[in-house]
Amino acid sequence: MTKSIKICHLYPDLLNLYGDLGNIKAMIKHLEASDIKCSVDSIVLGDRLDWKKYDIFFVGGGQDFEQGILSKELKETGNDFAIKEAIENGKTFLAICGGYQMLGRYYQTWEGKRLNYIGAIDFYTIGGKERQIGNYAFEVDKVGEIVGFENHSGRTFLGAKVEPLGRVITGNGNNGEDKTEGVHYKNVFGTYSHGPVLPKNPLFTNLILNTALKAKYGDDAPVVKYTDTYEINAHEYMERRLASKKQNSNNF
Amino acid sequence: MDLKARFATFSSRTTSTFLRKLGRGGTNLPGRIAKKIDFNILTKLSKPVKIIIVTGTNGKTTTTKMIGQILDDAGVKYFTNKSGANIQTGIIAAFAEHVGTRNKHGYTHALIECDEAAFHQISTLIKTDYVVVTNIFRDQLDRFGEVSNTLAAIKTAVKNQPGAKLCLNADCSLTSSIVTEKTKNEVLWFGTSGPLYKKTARELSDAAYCINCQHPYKYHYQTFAHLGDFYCPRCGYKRKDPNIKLTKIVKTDLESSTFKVKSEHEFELTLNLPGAYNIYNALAALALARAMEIPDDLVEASLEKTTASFGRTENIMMGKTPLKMLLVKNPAGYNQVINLVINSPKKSQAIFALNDRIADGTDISWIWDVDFETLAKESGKYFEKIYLTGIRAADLAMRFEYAGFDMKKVAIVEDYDELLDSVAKSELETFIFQTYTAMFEIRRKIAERVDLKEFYD
Repeated sequence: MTKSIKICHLYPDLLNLYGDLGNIKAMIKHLEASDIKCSVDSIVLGDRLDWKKYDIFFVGGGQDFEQGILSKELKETGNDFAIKEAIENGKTFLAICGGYQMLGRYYQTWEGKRLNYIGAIDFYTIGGKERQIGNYAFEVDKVGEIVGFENHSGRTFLGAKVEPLGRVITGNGNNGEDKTEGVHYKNVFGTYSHGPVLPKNPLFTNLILNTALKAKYGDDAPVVKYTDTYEINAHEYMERRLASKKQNSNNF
Repeated sequence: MDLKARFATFSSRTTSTFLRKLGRGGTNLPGRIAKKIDFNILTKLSKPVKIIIVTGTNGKTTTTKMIGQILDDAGVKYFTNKSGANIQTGIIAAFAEHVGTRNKHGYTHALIECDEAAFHQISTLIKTDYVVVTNIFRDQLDRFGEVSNTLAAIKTAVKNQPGAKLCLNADCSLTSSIVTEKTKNEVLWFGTSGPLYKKTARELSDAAYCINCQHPYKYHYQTFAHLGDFYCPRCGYKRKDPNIKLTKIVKTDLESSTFKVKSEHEFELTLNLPGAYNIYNALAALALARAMEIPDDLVEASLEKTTASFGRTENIMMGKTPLKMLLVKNPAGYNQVINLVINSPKKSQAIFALNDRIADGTDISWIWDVDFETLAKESGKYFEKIYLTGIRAADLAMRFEYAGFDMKKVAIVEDYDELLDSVAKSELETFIFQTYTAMFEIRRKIAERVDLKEFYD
């Protein structure tokens, strides 16, 4: 029997910062190349989320104006609760930047105003005065180095029992202080990385897909191993560039 | 003029001259020095002239060039800033150079291309007479932050200029929101009356939700991106009826557009610049001309004369190979260039150059929001060869494979000389899609082979 994965793109109409769509394209590509069927549905403003229908949820980053609309929307539709249930029941999530922040408890602006978020995972974000912008890299178990681009003013701090997604090699990551980047809780992968992160980190793509396949099919799960030269070349280019930059800065 | 201002002006001018002698296109240093010496230098220098500001995300340079042609033909004594020098320091340098301490050339007008953030800064220092806003799109986030910041900057600047006549894009829901019940300025709206393309690239909208009440907009028609005849079914915010209106598209191709427009009168116009985005630029220039009470027939002739600005659909013959320079800075602009190319299919080849220096935008995530899929589907078969170059060529190659291009046709050639050699041999029409600094580098290499106009002519 052919295996299949259903992807749910949460609010592409609101959370659509540059490039995040590339992550969906990467998942589709790797699944199709592995003969696994794949479909993508979108949940947009006004929709009610039936989380049981899906295997992978993707949440991108948004601008403040749109994230403001979304906070209200999630409460009104009860989709905030549906997302929590999905997470607690082991569904796979990939959440980027603003979408990642929204899974936490709250966001406190620089002026001290607190916005409550979904609270699915124990972490919080404090607005910073300066944006952390630039190419960066971090190390993830079972994957190795991930390269991406960070652009965020929020500094995220994880709760004591919550694991980060990885350890920062170059750049800032969650908060520029504790060398953590992103979050890994149950089957949720949260990261600040744009880029988009998946196309040029094919092993990370496979990790996410295999997590979802394992959750759905258990021991019968097929394993996605796909990578291609173009993905690897783009990855290696940035890995080399960041390594030489680090080398140079160590010389001073 | 007081001594401090004289010294500031003198310093700016000598620095400019010095840099020019060195053969450097440095455009910000002279203004920076002048401002250090006298913080209020711009206020003092700008007093003798009426000021026309051209701002907005896309189309500033071309619109400024069109307006310059109109002013030339109307016999208006004006000066303008160089296209790369559209931030505060560049603007100061332009005033220091042209007006100086005595305005001895007798300029009556300054035509200033102005970056959105710079407009906000200078709006407290000068009094402007005309403000043209071409459109507002999301630019690269690492440069300007969110589109709401860009909009807020322009709104505040306009509030600081209650006496300026405004020429605004009616089809852009973001630009249109600059005007509120409290706005006292006289406003001329420019816009369309129907769709402009047969085929269009798919795009994310930078403004899908009503700026006032956050309900999704509806459209009677869209031209591209978020531009068109929008309305909000909930709060009633809608497009203003344009005073300067495109009434009919007669003919469009890769070189030109012929269309009818109604301003004071209705007339037909052939613009020797391709693409719907240039039609919008022409409408913006027409609006400014109307605000200045320059007659339609004169404006028509001026617009027909306007040629491409540096690197923007500029045509260059390199030996027997015709090159079409296409500057691409953000997804909105890139998708417009794709619209242009897919609507005029022909046997050709293409170079795609992607850099990630500061002037290009350091985050290249945006290439995933460019509809290369449609380009691959519509034009892939017409491209005999596809060359990828620039600092981030490897990322482009990955993006192109995802987009469904036939990768057998695609080659990464990092060395520009080698690239131009291959291109020259083919004698095929060549589209060059290039980011800002890539364009400078490639154009400089072309200039070694062909006589070209100076940078910043």
